[in-house]
Amino acid sequence: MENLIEELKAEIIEVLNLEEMDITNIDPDEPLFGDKFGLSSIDALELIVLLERKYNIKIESAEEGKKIFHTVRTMADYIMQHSNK
Amino acid sequence: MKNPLSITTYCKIAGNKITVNGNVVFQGQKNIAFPDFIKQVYKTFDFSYAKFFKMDNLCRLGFAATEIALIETGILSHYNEGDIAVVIQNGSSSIDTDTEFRQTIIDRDNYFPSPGLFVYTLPNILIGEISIKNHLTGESTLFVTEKPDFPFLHTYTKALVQTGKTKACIMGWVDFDRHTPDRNDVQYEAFIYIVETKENKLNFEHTKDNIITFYQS
Amino acid sequence: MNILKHKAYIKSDNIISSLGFDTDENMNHLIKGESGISYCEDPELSVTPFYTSLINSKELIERFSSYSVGNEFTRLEKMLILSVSEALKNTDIDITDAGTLLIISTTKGNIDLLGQMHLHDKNRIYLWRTAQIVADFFHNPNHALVISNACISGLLSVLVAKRLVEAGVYNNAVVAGADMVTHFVVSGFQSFKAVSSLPCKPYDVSRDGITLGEAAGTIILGNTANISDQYPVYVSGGASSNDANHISGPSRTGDGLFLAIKNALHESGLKASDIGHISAHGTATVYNDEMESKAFGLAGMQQVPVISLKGYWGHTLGAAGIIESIAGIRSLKENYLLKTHGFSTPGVPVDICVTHGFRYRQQSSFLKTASGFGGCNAAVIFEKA
Repeated sequence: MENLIEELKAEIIEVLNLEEMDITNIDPDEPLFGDKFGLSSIDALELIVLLERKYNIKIESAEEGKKIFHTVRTMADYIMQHSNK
Repeated sequence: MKNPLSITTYCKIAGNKITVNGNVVFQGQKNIAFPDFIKQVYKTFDFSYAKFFKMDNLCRLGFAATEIALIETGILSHYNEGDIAVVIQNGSSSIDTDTEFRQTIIDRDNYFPSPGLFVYTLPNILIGEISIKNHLTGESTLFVTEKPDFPFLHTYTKALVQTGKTKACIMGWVDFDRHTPDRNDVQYEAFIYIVETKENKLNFEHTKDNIITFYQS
Repeated sequence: MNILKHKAYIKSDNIISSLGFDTDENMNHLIKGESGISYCEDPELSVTPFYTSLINSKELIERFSSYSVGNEFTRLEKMLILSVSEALKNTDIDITDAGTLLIISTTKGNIDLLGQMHLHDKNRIYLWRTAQIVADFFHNPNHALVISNACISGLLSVLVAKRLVEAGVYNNAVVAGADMVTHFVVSGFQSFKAVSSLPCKPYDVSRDGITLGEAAGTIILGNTANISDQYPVYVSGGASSNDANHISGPSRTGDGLFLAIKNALHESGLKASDIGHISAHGTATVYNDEMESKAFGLAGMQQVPVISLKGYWGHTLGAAGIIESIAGIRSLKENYLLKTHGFSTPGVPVDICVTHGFRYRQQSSFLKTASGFGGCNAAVIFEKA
């Protein structure tokens, strides 16, 4: 699980351009859509694309995504529950 | 009824160099790529705006030129938010980001269209970004022309002011041209000038000749 | 103080869409409540089947061949040239005259050429080049204007034309808009999860997104009405505005659109109660329709009939503001209201009067609105002279 969290952090930083903001680490329990990262609904849609591309998990709506993307840890939990092992 | 208009500042970004009212205010290294140049500009001018890093190249370019011009004139505190218009001309539309977005959809076996890129496949998003940062709610239009057409911009601004549609205008030409996946064929240029009905530190007469002279300086 | 000497009259128009190749044909379908949206399984356009509204390509080529043979024009250029040609038939303006300006409205132009540029002249992909090709076809001597301002491009083009004609910069303006349904655009909207699963349902409680469509439309404006026009219509007010809130999400308050409506009303000298109907944007996304209901509420227009035409043609992007304005102008002149196709149960927070069916209503003006990516809004008032 910890490996997945580390992997996920790196992926998120890359797809959401967080490195350009000099963010190279994310606390796995920090709300992704709080004030720190300045993320918006478009970023939630990008995370949906990430889940599909990398983990083969399809999310149908941005609303559904918002709950799953609460923190890196909630994302990792979701992936563990839904990916084909 | 005469509505005297003045150009109160102009800012040009081209060739990794920034000039304001004809004076060099920043010289980046000539051989570095645009994304690195514009990040240096962001840090040097301390824009402090996280959303900058979501923007594509065209928006970062236009945003930077506009921010520098706005700081120079202070017009945000001189007019109501609905009385500042934004009228921009552009030549290549959003072709840079169109090319990037297309890369995410051409391979049917690896088909993952990017919403973060798609939103920037419209050149008027540049105006959106400027409006959001500075809370500008007034008139705006994005025109596409082959080259800057300052006589037209001059005519249109006059029409907007004389009919009471606006009291100040952020005007200019912002273009970022790159249409192959090769990042080395970039051509970019931004020239933003501000036109006002009130006096400011500098007050150049709003004439077609002045605009062209400033653009070429 | 208004120093303008001229009024901008509507002199002619044309619509090319899934519902036909001229305005009359399109209007007949709209009056009968017949939609041009259909199910499409073409993998060239979309990886999954989807609902859309497409122009009949074979008929487009056949009709265009009476103007020009050979293959030197792209599909989009054919759409624009054909539309302008048809509109010119019903008015006597001289498009070769320097006093006539051509304005082109499009969001993506010849985007299907991206990745194929080696097959064409290298500038073919640029929107200004498309406009130049159209202007050259008609021997118009001016640099055509191109407005590419997301979904408000068409309405904004009419507004810019109005301003230039009123100021005496030009005598006439030919405003032509077009956009195609392409893999590029469909993919993009699908990545936003913004495309409806069924034909779109504006303002309806079960709405779930847009239906994309393609069309071309032309409105010719001038500083004199056509002599033969019994009920001339002119553009009496208009404004654009920005939400200054989010680059793709509609405002949650409707303030931006309200500002544009307020300014348009102010210019026309009309009150909310003078407006015969609102031809709204009504794209059928949850947030757009919600935002519009709030804006109409703020403008005091809760009793004004609201119509969205997206259920007939789909969302035609750069053509939308033009073809929807044409439909509004027709319904203004002939005093009727069209049904909002796809709407049955109200589903927006503010009570507005969305039309359930076709009916007659005496009107002296109508308001057209549009909103788009980038937080932009436009509002234009058309009035009987």
